[in-house]
Amino acid sequence: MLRKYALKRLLVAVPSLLIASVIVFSLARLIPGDVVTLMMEENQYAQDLDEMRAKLGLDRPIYAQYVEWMGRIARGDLGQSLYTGKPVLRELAWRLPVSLELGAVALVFAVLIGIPIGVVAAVRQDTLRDYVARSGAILGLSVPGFWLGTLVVVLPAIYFGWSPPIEFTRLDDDPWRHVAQFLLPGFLLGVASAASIMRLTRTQLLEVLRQDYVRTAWSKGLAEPRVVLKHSLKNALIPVVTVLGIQIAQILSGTVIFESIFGLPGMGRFLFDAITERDYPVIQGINLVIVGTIVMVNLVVDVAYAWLDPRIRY
Amino acid sequence: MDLSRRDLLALGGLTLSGAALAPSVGRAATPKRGGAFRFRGYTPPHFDPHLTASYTTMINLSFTHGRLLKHKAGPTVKPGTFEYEGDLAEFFSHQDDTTYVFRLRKGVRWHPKPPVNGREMTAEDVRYTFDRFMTIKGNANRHMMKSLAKVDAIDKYTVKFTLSEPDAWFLDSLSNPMALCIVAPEAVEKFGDLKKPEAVIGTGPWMLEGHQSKVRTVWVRHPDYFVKGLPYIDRVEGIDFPDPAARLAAFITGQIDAGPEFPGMMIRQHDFDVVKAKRPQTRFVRFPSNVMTHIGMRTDKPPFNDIRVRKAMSLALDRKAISAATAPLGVVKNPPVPAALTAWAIPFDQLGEGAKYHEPNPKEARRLLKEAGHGNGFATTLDYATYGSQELIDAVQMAVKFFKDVGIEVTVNEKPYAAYFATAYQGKYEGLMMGPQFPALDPYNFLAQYLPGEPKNQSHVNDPALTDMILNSGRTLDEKKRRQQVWEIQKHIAKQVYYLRLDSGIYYAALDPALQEFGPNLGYDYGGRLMAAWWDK
Repeated sequence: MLRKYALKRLLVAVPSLLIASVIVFSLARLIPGDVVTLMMEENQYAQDLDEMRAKLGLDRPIYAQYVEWMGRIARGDLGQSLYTGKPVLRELAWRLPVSLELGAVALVFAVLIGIPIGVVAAVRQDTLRDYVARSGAILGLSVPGFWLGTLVVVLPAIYFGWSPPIEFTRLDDDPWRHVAQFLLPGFLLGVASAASIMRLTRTQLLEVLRQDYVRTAWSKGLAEPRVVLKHSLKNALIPVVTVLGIQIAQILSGTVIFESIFGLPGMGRFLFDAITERDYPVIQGINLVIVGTIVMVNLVVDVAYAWLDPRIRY
Repeated sequence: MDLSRRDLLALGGLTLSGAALAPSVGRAATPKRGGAFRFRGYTPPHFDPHLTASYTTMINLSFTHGRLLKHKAGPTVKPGTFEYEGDLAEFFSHQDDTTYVFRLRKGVRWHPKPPVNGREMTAEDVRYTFDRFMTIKGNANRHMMKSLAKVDAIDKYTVKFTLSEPDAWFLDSLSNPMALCIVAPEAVEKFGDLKKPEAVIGTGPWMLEGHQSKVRTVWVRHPDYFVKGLPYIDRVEGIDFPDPAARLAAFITGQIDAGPEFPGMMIRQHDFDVVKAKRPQTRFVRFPSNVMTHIGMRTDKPPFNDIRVRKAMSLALDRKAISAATAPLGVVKNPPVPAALTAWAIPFDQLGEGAKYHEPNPKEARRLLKEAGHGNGFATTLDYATYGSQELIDAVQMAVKFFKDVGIEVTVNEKPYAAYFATAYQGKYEGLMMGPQFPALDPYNFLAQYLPGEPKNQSHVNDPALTDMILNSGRTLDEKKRRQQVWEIQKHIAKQVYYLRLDSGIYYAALDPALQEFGPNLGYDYGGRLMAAWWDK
C-alpha cells in the first residue's frame, strides 16, 4: 500500500518538474536587462552586441533555445555559463556541497533548538519559561538574517579586533577550520527555522498532551519524561516533519545571504551572481536543482508522513 | 567640504608629460625581499582579456601580464596622473602621424609554464596579440584600437603600428591596464582561448599559482622577471569578500593589508572613523575620485532642447547640499572631464561662463523657465539604478526635491541595474537619467559622451561645432596643444549645459604602514602599482 502511494507521488512529481522547467526557463528571460548588454558594460556598440548574441546562441527563437536546453537536460547537461564558459554542472558539483553543508548545519541547529524548547514550552505552559521561549521564537522569526549576520561579523571586529572566519577553507586544507566556518552562519540560518519548529512543536504537543491516551499514561503513574517523550512527542512531531520539508526550502533560500556575508562559495551566492549577471543557463540550472530538491524532499516527507501515521492514505 | 584649487593640486597634482621609457623602480635605500601581500580580490568571469570587458579580469591580469607601455607608479606619483613609461617596450619612435615603431626589451621571458615554458617574448607575440584583439569575435574593448590599421613585426624586437588616421590617444590606450596586455600564442593554441587559469601565462612580475572562484586567487613571484630584483613581494593573495561589512571587518582585523574597496584599495568615507580608531597605524592617502555622477537630459527633445531649460535645471541643483549629505569627508567640483584627471580637467576657476551654472540659484532658474515658456513648470521622468548605493539614492531624492522647488515635477523610475544599463545608460529614456559614469583614466572617454553615434552619448548631444572640436583634439599629437583644446572643449560644454554634473567624492586609500614604495591610484593596475613595493617588517 505504502509502495503504491509512493509511486503515485513520484508520478505526480514528473509533471511538476516539467512545469517548473518552463517557468524556470522563461522567468530568467523575463528579468529586465539583457545578458549581452551587461557583458559589454559601457561599450555598447550595436555591431558588437549582435555579434555576441549570435556567438552565445541568444539570437535564436526562445522556443528553440528551450528545446535545446531540455535536450541537454535529458542528457544530464545543464549547459555552460554565458560568462565563464564553464559547464554549469561542474560548477554546481563543487558549490552544491557547500550549500548542503551549510543547510545541514542550519537544520541540525533548527531541530536541536526548536524541538527541546518547544517541548519545554508545552510542558510548562503559561509559565515564565513558556513566555521566554515564545518571545524568543517571535524574535527569531522577526529579526532579518542579513542584519544579524552583519552584526556578528562587524561588531566583534570593531570591539575586540576579531572576526569569525570570513574566508573559505576547503576540507582538505584544514578539516577543523572547514567545519568551524559553517557553525556561526549555520546557527544564524537555523534560528529562524528553529522558531517555527518550536512554535509548531509546542502547539502540537499541547494538543497531544490533552488526548485520552496520555491521560491514561499519567494515571498509570508513568514518569513525566516517559509520558512526554515516549508517548506524546512522537505523535506531536508528525506535523513537524512536514514543516521540516518546508523549512529545508527556506533554509536553501537563506543560504544566499549567509554565503555572501561569510564568504562561502555555495550555490546561493552562485545564483545571486548569476541573476545579477543574467547568466541564463546558470539561473536555470540552479533553479532546476533547487526545484528538484524541493520536489524530492516533499516526496520523502509525504512518504514519511504516511509511514509515521498509518491512517493517512490519499 | 569643498576643496579649493590649492587642495586639489595637493591631492592630485599636475601630470608631467614625457616619453622616457625607463621603468620606474623602488627608490628606497634598502628594499627587502619577501613576504605576502593580501588584498580584497576579485573573481573574474574568466581570464581572457579579449573576451570580456570586466575590470575583474583586468585587475587579475595586471599581476601576470605586461603591456608595451604602462603607467608610472609609486609613492611619488600623484594619484590621478597617468604618465606612461616603457613596460615591454624600451623605446618608441613616432615616424609620422600614423606610424609608431616600438623597440622591445631583450630578455623578456614568459612565465616558466607549459606550453610556453619561459621562452623569450618577441615582436611576433606582440603582432599576434593585436591581431587577435582586433579580429576575435566578442571583444568588447575593440573600440580602444579603432584607429589601428595593422601591426607588423619588423624583426625579433621591433614592432610597427600603422594607424588609419592620427590618434592622439593611441599611446594612452596602449598604456591603459585594460585588455591590451601581451598574450602568448601557444597558450591560445593549447587551450583554445585564454579563459582558463592554466592559460594565464604572461611576462608580468607574478605568476598565477591558483584560483578558486569566489574564494581566492594566489600569485607567486616570477623568477625571471625582466626587471632584475623585482618584484620584492614573493606572494600575493586576493581574497574575494563579497559583503562590504565582511570586507571592512577583514581590514580592521588585519586579514588584508589594504583598504578593500574598488578601485585603489580604498575604504568608504563613512568607515573612515572606525578604521582610524581600530587600525590607527593605517596610512591614508586622499585623492579625488574619477567616478562622476551626472544627470543626462534628452537634449534632442523639448523641453531639454532649450538651453534655457537646461541652465535652469543646473541652477536648481544645490550640489553643495548633495555633497554634504553623500560625501561628508570632501568632494571636488567637476568640469566636464572629472577633476580627478588633473592633467586634462580644466581648473574649475577657469571654466568661464559655464562655471556659474554649477552654483544654485533657484530664482534665476525660475526666471529662465518662465522665459522658456515654462512659468508653471513642467513634469518629466528620471530613470536611474541604485547601484546598491545609499549615497546615490540620497542624491537622486535631493535632486528631485531641488527640481520641485523651481516647479519641475520629476517622477522617478528606479530600474534594476541590468535594465538601466540596457536602456537609460544607452540614452533610451524619456526625460532625465542619472547615474555614475565609467571611471576612465583618459579624457576621451568622457568627451565621447558628446559625440553623435557614441553609445555613451546619453544626452543625445548633436552639436556639430563641438563634434569638430573633439575630433580635432583627437588628431592633435602635440600634447600641450591638445590640452588647450580639451580645455576649450570643456568651456564650450559647460556653457551648453548638456549634462548636470555632480561633485565627485574624495577617495581614502588605506594601507598597512609597513608597505613601502607603494602609491595608490585610480584604475585597474593593481599589479603595476605593487611591482616595486616591499614590506618593512
